[in-house]
Amino acid sequence: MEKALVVNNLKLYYYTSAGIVKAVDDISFDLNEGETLGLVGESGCGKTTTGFALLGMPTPPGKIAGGEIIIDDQNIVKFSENELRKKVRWEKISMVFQGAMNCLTPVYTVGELMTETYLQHRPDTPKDVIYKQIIKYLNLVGLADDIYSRYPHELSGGMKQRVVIATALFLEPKIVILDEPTTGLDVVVQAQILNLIKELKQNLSISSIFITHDLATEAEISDRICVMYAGKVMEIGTNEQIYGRKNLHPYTEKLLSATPLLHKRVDELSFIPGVPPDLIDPPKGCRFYERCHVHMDKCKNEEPTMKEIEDGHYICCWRY
Amino acid sequence: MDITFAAGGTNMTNSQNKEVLLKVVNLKKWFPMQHGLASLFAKEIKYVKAVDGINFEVYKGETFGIIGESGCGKTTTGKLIMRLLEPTDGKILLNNEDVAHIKGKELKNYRKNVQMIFQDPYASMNPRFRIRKVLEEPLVIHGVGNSRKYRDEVSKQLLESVKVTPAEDFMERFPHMLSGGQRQRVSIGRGITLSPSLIVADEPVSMIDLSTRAEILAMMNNLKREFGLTYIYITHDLSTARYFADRIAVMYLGRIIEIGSADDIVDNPIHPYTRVLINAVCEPLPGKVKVMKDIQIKGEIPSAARIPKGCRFHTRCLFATEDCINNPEPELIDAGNGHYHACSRASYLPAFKY
Repeated sequence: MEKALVVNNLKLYYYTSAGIVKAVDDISFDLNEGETLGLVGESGCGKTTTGFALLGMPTPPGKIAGGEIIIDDQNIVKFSENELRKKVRWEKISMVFQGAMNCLTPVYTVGELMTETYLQHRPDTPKDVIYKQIIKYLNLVGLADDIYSRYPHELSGGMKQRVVIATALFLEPKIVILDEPTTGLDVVVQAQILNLIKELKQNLSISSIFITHDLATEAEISDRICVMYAGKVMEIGTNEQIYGRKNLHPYTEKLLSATPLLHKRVDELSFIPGVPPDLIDPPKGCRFYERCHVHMDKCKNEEPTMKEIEDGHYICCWRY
Repeated sequence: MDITFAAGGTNMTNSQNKEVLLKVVNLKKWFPMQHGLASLFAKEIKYVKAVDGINFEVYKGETFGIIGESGCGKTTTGKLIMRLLEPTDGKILLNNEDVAHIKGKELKNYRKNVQMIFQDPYASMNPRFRIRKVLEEPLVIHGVGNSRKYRDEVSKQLLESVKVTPAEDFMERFPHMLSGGQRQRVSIGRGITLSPSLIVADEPVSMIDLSTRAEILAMMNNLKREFGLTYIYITHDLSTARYFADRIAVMYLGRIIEIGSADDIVDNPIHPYTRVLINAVCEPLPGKVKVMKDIQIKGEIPSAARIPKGCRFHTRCLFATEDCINNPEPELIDAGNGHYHACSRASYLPAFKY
């Protein structure tokens, strides 16, 4: 299968006054064409940081400290800011930012907002070409033409999120990163947005990375799942491998059993005791050691490596 | 309105032995849309009907879940029970005493008995108070125990109950030095400081990480047993409501449209809206990537200032007929076993499947 994106040994550190926070520390994964890859983990595990890194725009004081991000045989880590703006962002890879739907400028109409984005990336495009493209994509996300001249406050949460998704897609990048696109929406609207993303995936054959903390949402949308913990990738597997619940990383296993199932009543949910480690001075061995229920002596001092335990199922744990 | 009509009425077979702690009768909260001068000149004052005539009972020792989408009035209901708001109409009976319009000292005493846990543990604590002071505050306000030593002892025990240990150490910390989970535990501890009989928990875990969410809910369950508490659990999340609540009321546009045991609501929902909510929930199970979710609803939620006539759900319902629009709003209909719903066409609906 063709790879849309390959990430090798990516490191993104935040250089703070308290020390270097190793938010993303040596992670590798790839994204096949036309698939959705889910990035899941608790808050602070580095999933959003990874998303920003893929656009080549770490939030200060963050810097990409190593590794490569390969899109179309080019390593974009080496690109200058100018090149990134012109050739990468929104041309090859775009992002639906977390909470972006609440950040639409209230004094511009949807049309003006989208036109601005278009002109930033492709100046000198005739107005009518832009207009046609905007209308095309508004329709694709299930909005009517008249939304073009509406202001954000006239739209509901679900409609705003559709506008944001249309804005991420209308320059036709081949990869889209969706960062918690359903968080903060009502459960019905959430389901509608998930249906929309599924539909767009089929019709436009885009590859996407779906970032969320919610394993249940991920089960609905992602072909493959990449579980992150404390800046590291713990496990990568297909949807069936992860949610089939056989041979999992202890962390994934615990996270899954902490997620309540709607149609099965349980008396006690399990949980993971403790808190994630400090990323300024991460533990020497496995980063999950402290909270792991099946840890061994070896885990404390030696860092585990990725192993392929079955076809396409990678686990970073000494137990395997 | 007939009081005995209240959902979960005392004639229910499975509740004969249960003691009613809180009873809400035809409770309404209408917010006027014109204030001050504007209201003098307005031909007719329009209202946002946030809560529009709800009835329910909460039994002693149970967890009563209120679920619904944003804007359905669930938080307003919580605030009314807390008496942070004064109802426009209706009764709130705690231990058979109407507290709907009490004021001053009475209200202060009432609040000793009913406490609240807020959604956002980052916003619900004074950042300049040490944890010691956060926990002592309710004791000081209500004048319980006048010695510093007594209050310290209580705070320490509370921290141990909510498992924020070592307690001595945490008492001297400021809220910003605690993780989200720890803060929410402290905030739960503060809620039980005055040993209330009822706790209104408004989305207590929606801002907590998944790995600790279950831990907090389990801890709340333990506290319930230990201190004989009763919870009203307000949430939008059906999966935790099913796990945490004994009975669930589903709200839509200020009304309860279905009420019943948590198992009945989830496995055997009757009202079309409840069915939509349940089908919309994502579950961590394989094999769903290629399947579209079946969401049987149309349009968007109407404004609470313009509530549709007839059944208020008819504008979004796929099964609505002329009758649903023209007939007066359906009252709760008994489906047996303490399960009530507000759909007059329930018997014509297709069987529910998930």
